[in-house]
Amino acid sequence: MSDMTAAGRRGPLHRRKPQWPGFLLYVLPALVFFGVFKYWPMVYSTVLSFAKWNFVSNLKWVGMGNYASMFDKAMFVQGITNTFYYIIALLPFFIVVPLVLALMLLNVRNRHAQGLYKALYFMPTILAFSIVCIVWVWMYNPSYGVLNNILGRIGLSKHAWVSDPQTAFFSIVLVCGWKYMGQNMILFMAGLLNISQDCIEAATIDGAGGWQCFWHIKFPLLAPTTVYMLLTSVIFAAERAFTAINLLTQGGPSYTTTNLSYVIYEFGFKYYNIGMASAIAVFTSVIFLIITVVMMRTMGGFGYHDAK
Amino acid sequence: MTPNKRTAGRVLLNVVLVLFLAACIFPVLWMISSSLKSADELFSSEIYLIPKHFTLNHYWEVFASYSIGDWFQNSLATTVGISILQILVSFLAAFALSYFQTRLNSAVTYFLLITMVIPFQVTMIPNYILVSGMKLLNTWTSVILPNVANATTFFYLYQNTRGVPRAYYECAQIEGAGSFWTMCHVTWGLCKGAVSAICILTVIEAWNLYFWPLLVLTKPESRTLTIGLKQFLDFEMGNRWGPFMATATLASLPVMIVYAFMQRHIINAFISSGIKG
Repeated sequence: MSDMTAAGRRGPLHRRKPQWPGFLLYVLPALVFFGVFKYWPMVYSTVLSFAKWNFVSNLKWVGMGNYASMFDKAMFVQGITNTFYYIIALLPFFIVVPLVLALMLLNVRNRHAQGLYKALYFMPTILAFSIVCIVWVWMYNPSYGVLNNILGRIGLSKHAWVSDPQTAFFSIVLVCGWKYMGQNMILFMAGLLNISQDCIEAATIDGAGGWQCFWHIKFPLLAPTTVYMLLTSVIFAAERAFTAINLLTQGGPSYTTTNLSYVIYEFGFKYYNIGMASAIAVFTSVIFLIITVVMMRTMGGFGYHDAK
Repeated sequence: MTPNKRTAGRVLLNVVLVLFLAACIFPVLWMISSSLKSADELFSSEIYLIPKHFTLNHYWEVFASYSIGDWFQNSLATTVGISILQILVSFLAAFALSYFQTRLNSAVTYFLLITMVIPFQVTMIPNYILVSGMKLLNTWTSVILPNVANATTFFYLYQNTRGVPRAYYECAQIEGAGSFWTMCHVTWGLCKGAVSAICILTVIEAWNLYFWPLLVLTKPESRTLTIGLKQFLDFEMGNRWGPFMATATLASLPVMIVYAFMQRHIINAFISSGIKG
């Protein structure tokens, strides 16, 4: 649908009048909104990252000072390492389990059963992350939470989950993984259904077993979806886990659960160190940009799932 | 494979799927069930979903002692505002890029699309300064304005308007139709499905917004539902959990009802846009 021939593009449309005034009129709202709320902030952030400021004091220029002292801040260093750990820890929930579930669900022959599974698995996706996070706070509650009750029932010891440095990180990962498992499963299913049946038949005729068929045919053809998931896990680990961290642990105990976005938030809105917060924000976006470009280059394309 | 083995395989498959499914929806069921349990049951160590002493007390308490009406109204207003403006602005640009052919087309497309990789954290502080400079803190406008610019929505609509056959526009042109008429009758008509798909996702996304409203809505009466709920966490554990679960259920109900009726549509919209949510 989307291919437009070169000849078509040079059609007779609007030949007499210049087109750009009309064109600009239509795109003006978008240009204004994107300019004011995306580009201007990006520039402003970069400028602020070279200054010392707390919202009310006079702006003091410190050059590269913020960038230089960034790595001396324990909170920031923890933020980076944790973001990295989050990426690793989320992979099973974001990629492995959803992929296995998708493969299994495609084997459910009954149409209605499959539809029902899909609908229910997808449900956590549509609920507000903040709401389900607080529900999890209740389930993690050390004295009345259902998780400890279940553990007690099967004879395991109870945990303080979010306030114990040993389990806090895992608690966050579990909530995030739970929220996004079904959603990624649906995307993997769509990806798997997109694979041409011919390839699979050809492989079967050549004598490929189920495992070989998956590993050599389906998995490589799923690459766009998988790349997209990897990218989302990176963005998620650095950015969107904020809601869970903010509601469950506030980054604690002793920075064990903080991530990059939470560090920026704390510097900005808790310590009012705007310069440092901006410097970290700029640093984060540069990293984002590099990761995005590298991933798109090496593995070929954003998995847009055939958006028409 | 023998039929027996096949049946066994199918049973095993369903067992595993049901187990994961249980883990997937348990928190949601637990939320609803907790909101209907009496205070004693809420803090008991027994595990069951159907309340033995069914009560709506938590709901009455929420209505009586929290400004949930205000929160609901704020959520509704910001959601409507964000969705309408976001789709309107994106659709106008997407239409123009498919209808007009100027030298500026590709520059404008890139200008809008590149914003997809700008993380929220970079824009957060300057946008906060901007909004507070405009004296807009604690208003609906402060939540709506920065969320109007959304590259994903634009990209999705652009993908669709780009697919409108050139010949249609030329026909309209020959018949003497202006660009506005063409947009309303040709492009809109052809892209209605795409618009409704992205509309659902935008509404859900806006209803569930958390980070940005947390920064700009600080007064209790200006909070949206998602932010207002945080209030229940500020108290010592005690017996606030009942009212919280009631509010959480109420806040999720609109989304769940919409989902119940349009689940197929929502999932398909989600798959085709891929990146929302």
